[in-house]
Amino acid sequence: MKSRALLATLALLALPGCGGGSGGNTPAATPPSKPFEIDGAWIYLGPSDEPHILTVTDSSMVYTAVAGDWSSNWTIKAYDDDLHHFQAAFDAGTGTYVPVGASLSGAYDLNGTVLTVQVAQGLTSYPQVEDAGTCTAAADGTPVPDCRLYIKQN
Amino acid sequence: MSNQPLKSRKSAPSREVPTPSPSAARRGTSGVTWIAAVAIGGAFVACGNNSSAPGTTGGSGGTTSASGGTLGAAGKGGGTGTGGVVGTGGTGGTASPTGGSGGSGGSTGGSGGTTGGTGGTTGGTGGSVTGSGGSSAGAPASGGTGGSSAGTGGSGQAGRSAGGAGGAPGSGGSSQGGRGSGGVSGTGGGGGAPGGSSGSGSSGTCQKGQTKPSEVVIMGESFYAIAPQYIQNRIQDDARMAGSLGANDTYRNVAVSGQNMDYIATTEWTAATQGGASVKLVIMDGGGIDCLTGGSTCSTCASTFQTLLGKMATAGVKDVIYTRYPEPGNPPGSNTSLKACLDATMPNMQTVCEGSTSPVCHWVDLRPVWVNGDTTDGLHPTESGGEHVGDLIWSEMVKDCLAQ
Repeated sequence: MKSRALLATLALLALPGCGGGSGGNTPAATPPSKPFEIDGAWIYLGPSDEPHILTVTDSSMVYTAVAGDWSSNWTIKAYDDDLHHFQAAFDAGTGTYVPVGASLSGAYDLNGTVLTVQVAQGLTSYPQVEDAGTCTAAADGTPVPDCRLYIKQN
Repeated sequence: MSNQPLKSRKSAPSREVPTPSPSAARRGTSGVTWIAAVAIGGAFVACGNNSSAPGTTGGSGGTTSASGGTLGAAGKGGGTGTGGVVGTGGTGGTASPTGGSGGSGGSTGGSGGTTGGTGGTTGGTGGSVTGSGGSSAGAPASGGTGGSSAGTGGSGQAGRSAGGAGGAPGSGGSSQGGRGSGGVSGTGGGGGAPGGSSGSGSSGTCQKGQTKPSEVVIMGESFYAIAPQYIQNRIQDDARMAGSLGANDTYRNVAVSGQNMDYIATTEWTAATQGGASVKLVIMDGGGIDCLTGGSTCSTCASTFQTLLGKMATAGVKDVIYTRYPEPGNPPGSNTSLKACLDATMPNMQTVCEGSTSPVCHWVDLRPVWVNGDTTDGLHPTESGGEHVGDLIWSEMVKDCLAQ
């Protein structure tokens, strides 16, 4: 009786993925990645580019001029909702589009329905969002380069 | 506002239909718009229910002189329980050889009658240098806009249930010749008590050079701040055409995208007056971002606006033009949640504005001039939106001699 129980225990332990855990015998699942928190369509408010819509998904960013004369498509390589960071690689563009570069690193501030995005070319470091909510320097109102302010589209 | 059909119609004094001015053609104004402008600039008629005795006829609008335009007197409201009363719009001025005098449209404000008359307006058409006041970039719902004339149509004033009020007086045209602008159609109230008082005319000549370009300040958010600044550019173009702004002069724009009413009233106002800068005229909006980021209404916007007006008074600001947002969305009005918030918030802003006498606050509703094509993203003006808004603001500036 004792040896039969030992065999059963050994057999159980031999099953891959079973035993050893505290919560039962279900294989550990990879948690689904959190959706990018700025997914959606955003209306550009300013300060200095032409009016456009930024459309964000977990895997792409598209800048589209409301006048229809330019656009740019980017593949999102990484994003972090906690650190408010993302990285993207340029795919294609038409017209005189923004932003420019082969790749970019971005930081953002999300305050309700207002989104401030600061980007920098390359993937080496993330920029800082220094003037969240305005993208203009507090001292003199000068537009902050590569900073863009958006509001969530309905 | 009465939804009763018009029971009678009276035409304005007949005159030749002017042809579009070269400037109108240069701006690429559509024929349809021009026709609409002329139509609106003609004459609206106040109509009442004729079931009782005929009412008093409103006063005739004035005619303009060749030297700047005198004002048409306002129509007079009807008597108690009387039938429809009709004010007659003044005729546009004729041009002088030296630049054209702006004829102003007399306002027709006749009202009265049990169903409520409609206070009409006549968009005055001033003379151009060639002698014919053309209307061009007229805003369909707010009256025609004259070509190169300077006449300004009178606004019809809403009739009251206690008796129709006479139309507001039309203002005289600028001697420099600008574009005339038709007035907004007023709506009569129900009949009853005696009609409103007559309007009075005033000189159509504005004193030039009283306000420096830097003393005209634009405040608000992306509606005015976003590039290209179509609205500001249009106002400045209008001002330059009228000789009120130098070729290289510009107004000061301190509007910052994405800002709420509190920011406008504090940070932007600080920027506007930084270094002791003088401000005489403010063109502004505010409250839209509060609606976009908040809930169903902005409960603090009106009081914040009131406080700002107090600061402006202390600083010596003479006039404020507050522009009520157009219908949001593309097509206009389709952003129902934002529209609901604006509809709930703006009446209180209007009350504050219209209650301010120092500075004088001019409430300019952009909804009537904002049409399909004036926005693409549902918030910001396209070039045509900038033209329609800019022209309406300029017409208000001309009418009240602001920064002329």
